[in-house]
Amino acid sequence: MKKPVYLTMILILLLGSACEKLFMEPNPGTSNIDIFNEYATLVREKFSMLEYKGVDIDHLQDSIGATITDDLTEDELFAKLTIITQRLRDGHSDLSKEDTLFQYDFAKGYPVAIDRDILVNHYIGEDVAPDIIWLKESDGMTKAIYGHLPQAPDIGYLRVGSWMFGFTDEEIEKIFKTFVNDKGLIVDVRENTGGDPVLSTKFASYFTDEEHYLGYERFKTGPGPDDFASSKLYLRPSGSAYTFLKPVMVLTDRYCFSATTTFMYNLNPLSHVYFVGQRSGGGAGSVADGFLANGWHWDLSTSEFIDLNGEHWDDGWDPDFHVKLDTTDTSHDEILDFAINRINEMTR
Amino acid sequence: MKFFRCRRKYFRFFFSGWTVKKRHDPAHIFSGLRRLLVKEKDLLVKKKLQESYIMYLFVMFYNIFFRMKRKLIILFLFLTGTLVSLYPQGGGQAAIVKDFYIHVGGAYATFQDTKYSDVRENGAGMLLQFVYGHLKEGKHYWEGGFLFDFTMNHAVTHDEGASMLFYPKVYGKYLRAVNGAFYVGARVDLYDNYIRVYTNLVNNSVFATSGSYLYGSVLYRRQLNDRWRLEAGGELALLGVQKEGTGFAMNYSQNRIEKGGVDYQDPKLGDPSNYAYAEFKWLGDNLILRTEFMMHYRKRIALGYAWEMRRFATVPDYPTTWGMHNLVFRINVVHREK
Repeated sequence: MKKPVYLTMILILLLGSACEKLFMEPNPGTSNIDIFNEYATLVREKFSMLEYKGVDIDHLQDSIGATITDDLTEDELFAKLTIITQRLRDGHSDLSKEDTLFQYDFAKGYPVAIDRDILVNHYIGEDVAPDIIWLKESDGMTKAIYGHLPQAPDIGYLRVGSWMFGFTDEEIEKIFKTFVNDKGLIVDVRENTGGDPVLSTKFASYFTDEEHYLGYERFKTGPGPDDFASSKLYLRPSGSAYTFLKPVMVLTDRYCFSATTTFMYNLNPLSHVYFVGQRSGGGAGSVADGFLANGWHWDLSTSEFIDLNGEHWDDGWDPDFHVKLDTTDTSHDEILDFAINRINEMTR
Repeated sequence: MKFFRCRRKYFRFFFSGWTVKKRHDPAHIFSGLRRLLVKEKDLLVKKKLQESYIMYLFVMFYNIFFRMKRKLIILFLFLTGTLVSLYPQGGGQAAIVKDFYIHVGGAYATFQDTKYSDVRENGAGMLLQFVYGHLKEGKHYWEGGFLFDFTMNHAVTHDEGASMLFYPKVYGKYLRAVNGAFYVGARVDLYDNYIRVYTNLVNNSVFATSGSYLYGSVLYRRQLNDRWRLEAGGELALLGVQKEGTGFAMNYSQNRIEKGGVDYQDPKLGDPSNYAYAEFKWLGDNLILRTEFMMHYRKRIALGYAWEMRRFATVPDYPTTWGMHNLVFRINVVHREK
């Protein structure tokens, strides 16, 4: 082949390079109306519970969009967008900019259901319960408290304050090994606002020795209003020698949210597990997050869980036993005491 | 009668040739025949002469190849051999070149995942690549290597959402020479893992795509002079298996979500480097293009430019597109020729 042909081919190859931006969509606009429409579109395409929560996103976009002008300040525009966020009534869906976070207050109106001072001073503190183990992360954060309460030496107590920590398989095995001879177990997940659903499911798997159908989770798979796919969820046993099949009382409050709800719906079909305390916060779906074109951060629920009886869990779950905390009595945790008494009655 | 007359007329010509040395020379007979052919007006005779003319051409060539003198034979063979050895395809003995080289250089990455945002991301960083190559000039070329790109990236329209890109690959390539300069073959990326980690995101903090791919590959090599050599090549992915770890809803594979396969007790599902649940992709699903240009100096160093582009859409109408540009400096750590 002649030299000019070679050079022509190389030139074509060279000119054809570095052109990936021709295939990309143009950058979105960052004007006030562009940002508003971007957020409204994200909600329409990704939020999984428009129908369940009764949200008419088209009406919201039209009515609020008509008030968006270029004169709005950043704070004013943020306030406009948060009208949509508020309307979603979802603790997982939020909007934030710089130091400002807007989130639906799913616990508003619910009384306090846990007092840490009461717990530490009378139930699990080093002074009153020296055998209780405080499992800590390397930075000193407590990830689990487990052992036996002075009030009930034959009933195990496990508190997990968050599912965001990392637990090794050995640590989980060691925790449940502690309870192998106990007649019952109290699992305290009050104020556990969530974390990793894989971890909470792993803990739940220690409470069964057979597979249970839980229900299904509907995921948003595309932008259309009917673009969903359902995954059937099952709880499979851990296979551990320390599986706990005796009575279990799970202490809940309104701040039991997200991965804690995952923990709860995993345990709900189990006949030896009971919920005590306050209605949980819900947040049963998965969450996606990202940035708007101006850098504001958004979170949106992109799935919802519906149990085997067709019940939605996203707005919370009522306990088997409603118990309130008497905040005037600083020496007792009524919810914890109820759980201890209930196990004693069941195992008498 | 006329035929016999012509035969008698020319028989003397042919016969007389036996007695005179000059007449043994086929060229002489050949030229004599041509003179007779021009003069003869009898068509029948002319036809016979033409037949004889053709016969004598055959005889002449026969004499050239089988009866000429030894020196002429030697000259003929030499000229033939020289022409064959000058022709680049298949001639002579091929040189074998073995290289172990390192590429270092800069990297510039572009990215856009329209499932989440149309905002483009750019970033700069570095490239490191280790390669072993084996060339048999004019025959084949193969190489195997490991390369790693790292960039720090930011969104074009805002200052949030900084991310780091880790992009390792393990590959092998085999090309056969079409002619002395062009090579055609295939490349296999055994391990290709594109991982972006966002510092200010939570559930979508990791964008990861892993896969293995088969490419069609071309390479052009040309020695410009004693010191400089040009290499230019291109690759196009033909098929492969790919797992994109970010679906429309969450950080699980879209195909797994669509098939109802979400399971919080499945450790493979959320693992970005795991090939579990990867799906088959061919050219129509997954556009991956590469080009590379290198200018080699004295077989020791080279400077060049490499580009890769990828575009695919696990959710229809919501494509993911990225590009990687590398300015490359090559050092031949080991270079052997024989």
